Amino acid sequence: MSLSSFVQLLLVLLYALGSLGVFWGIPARRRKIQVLGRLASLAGFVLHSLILLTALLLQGVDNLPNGYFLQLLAWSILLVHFLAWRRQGANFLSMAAVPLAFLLLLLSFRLGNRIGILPDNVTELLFTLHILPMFVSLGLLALAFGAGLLYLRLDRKIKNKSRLSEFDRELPALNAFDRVNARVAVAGFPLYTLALATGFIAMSGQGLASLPEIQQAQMGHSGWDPKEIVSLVVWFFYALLFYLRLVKGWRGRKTALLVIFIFGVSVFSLLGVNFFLPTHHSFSAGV
Amino acid sequence: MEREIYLVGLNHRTAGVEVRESFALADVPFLSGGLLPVSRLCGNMAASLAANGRNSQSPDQFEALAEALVLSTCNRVEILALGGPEAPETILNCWCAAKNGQREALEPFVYCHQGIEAVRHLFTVTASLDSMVLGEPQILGQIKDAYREAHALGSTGVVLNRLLHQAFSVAKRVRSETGVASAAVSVSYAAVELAKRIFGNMSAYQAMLVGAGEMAELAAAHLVNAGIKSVRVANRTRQRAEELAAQFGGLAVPFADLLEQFKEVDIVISSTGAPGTVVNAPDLARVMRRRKNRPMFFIDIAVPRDIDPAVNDLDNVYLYDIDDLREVVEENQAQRQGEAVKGRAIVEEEAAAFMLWREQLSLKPTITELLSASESLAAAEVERTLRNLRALLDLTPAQAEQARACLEAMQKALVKKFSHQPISYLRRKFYEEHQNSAGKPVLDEQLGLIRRIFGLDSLGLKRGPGPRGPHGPARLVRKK
Repeated sequence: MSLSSFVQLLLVLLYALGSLGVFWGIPARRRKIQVLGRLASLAGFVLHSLILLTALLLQGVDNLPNGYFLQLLAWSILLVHFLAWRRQGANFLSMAAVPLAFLLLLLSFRLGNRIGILPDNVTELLFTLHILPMFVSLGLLALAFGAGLLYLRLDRKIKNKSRLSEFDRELPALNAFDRVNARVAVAGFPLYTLALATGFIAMSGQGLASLPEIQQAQMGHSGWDPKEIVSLVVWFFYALLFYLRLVKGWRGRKTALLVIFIFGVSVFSLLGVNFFLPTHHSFSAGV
Repeated sequence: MEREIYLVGLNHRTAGVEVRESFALADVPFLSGGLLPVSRLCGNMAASLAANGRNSQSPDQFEALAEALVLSTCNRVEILALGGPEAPETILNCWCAAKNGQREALEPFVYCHQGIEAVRHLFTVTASLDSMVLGEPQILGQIKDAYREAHALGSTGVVLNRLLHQAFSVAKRVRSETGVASAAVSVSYAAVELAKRIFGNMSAYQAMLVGAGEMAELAAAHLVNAGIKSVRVANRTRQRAEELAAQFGGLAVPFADLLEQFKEVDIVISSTGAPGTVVNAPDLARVMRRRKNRPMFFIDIAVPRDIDPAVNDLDNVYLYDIDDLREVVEENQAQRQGEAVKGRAIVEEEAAAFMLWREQLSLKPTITELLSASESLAAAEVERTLRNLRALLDLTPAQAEQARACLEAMQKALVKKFSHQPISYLRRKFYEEHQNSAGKPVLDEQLGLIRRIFGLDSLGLKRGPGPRGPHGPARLVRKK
């Protein structure tokens, strides 16, 4: 077994162990298993950081396989989760973030080592200003999505006077979930704007001609890339969330619903568009 | 004499409040005053002897208790002791005597547990599974106090010390591993628990009490305990508002200004005597807008209700009335009952573990005694041999010391090797018994045999200078 295969297998094992640990240990309230899960995910995260960094340095920014980006997304989700965890101390985050990262990792292997067709001038700058902020803001959205779901669940239970279980009592309070929503709106929106803006700038700088012919043909007459359209839609609603929270002072149920919607569109953008629609972000094209 | 653990007592289930009052032991120096004959307490035993109808001239017939502990609360009186088969009688007699009561007045209400039953009962009580309110926290503190007192007096020994310590850890286990003590079982506390689910850390939020009343004031007190930032009080009577405000360290506000106050207050406890609603939905909707939609929690304890039920439909507003809160409490009580089953399973497990420890206790003394008997025999021989060597070889003091060291090393090695077989055998037998549950009697017989063979049971062992030679150690003179 080559070193790289071994390392990848180790990563899979660590994330799997982490997912198992948090998914089992937290509802069952078994401290040792929870701790094991968290340590495994932390170790996996560190290993993953090293893997991603090495791949980036060795292969160069323009030579990264498609799977790399999904892994980067998984890594971003975990990064956001670890940062949020230190501030909020809530372990319910782990229950969502770690298994999600694990699934994305598995999915990235499925994509194989095909290197996607990217425009000629994918540079380090583009990587840091476009790809990374995009993924981190997606990670933040994922966090807010989880918090939003839990908010709605608890809100409905309290409104309907339903019985609160032991598990409910251990979750953070309603206000804590709402605070996550607020923080994500404030932090995620500027990041997303940056990512989107740099993406557009990069594209406009070279124009259609820089794209390989096969993709030019796929894009059809309008010249509008589906990915770009969907991203603009996401940006619009993200802006709406930002405005409603900061200016109009909305909070609670409506903002939770909004963030869930935004996340849904983003997931569609990532999975649906990248996989199924013709776009220069496509994962399906490529050698 | 076979000593067992006995628990004699009464509680709120077996005896009414008058009986509990007349036989409470909290005000009586039952242990400290020597009213219960505990052999470890070298105090005055005359009173307890007299109570048992014995006089001090015949101490041999009297069986003192080896260890004892007394627990007396408003809901139960229990006496835990380690003693012989007459222990329950002794306890009952002394109890009556101490309270100047008649046995007939006490006996019908009293229960008596023995052995594992007693252990089980103690663990159940300590884990608050026997309390009037399941899962209540006070009983643990009360038992700890009773133990502290008994321990300070010296009336507890190896067995009760271990038993009580295990009882405390059982209580901790039950509280942490089951939900028996978790959810609120009073209306006021249930309200505050809900507030915590909505707001989390209370220190950034403010509350208001509208009106007055026991439950409302209790809820406000719980909020203060939970660390709420401030409590305002509004009442139609200015004076009453100020009284209550002083109680909670808060501010009295005019009743007419209610809606204005709502802008700054997050939790409202309402308990006025008003015939209709004091707060309606449209007004509150306006308030919420002015509040930038920050959440509000209304606790409506009044009957008829003070708060318009439509308020619950507004976003970020939560309303619980007295019926809702009562339902929460009922659900929690039912949940506690369910959790109590888990608690009892833990108690069962721990009681079995304790009894196992107790059984081993009879094996351990045997082993200890076996070793010490061998040691003292060997030590005597070492002394004698050393004397002979000194005479024979004319050793200098330094050489004598070296000789002694050698002999003692040999002594230790001999004792160890010699006792190894019987001890291993006993240990093996002990664990075998427990694997097959072939029954205790066989082990006891073997223990008894070993004890007889090595003369461990005889008191006043006389080791005379018997014939020495190839036939082994000095003959032991036995006193049977």
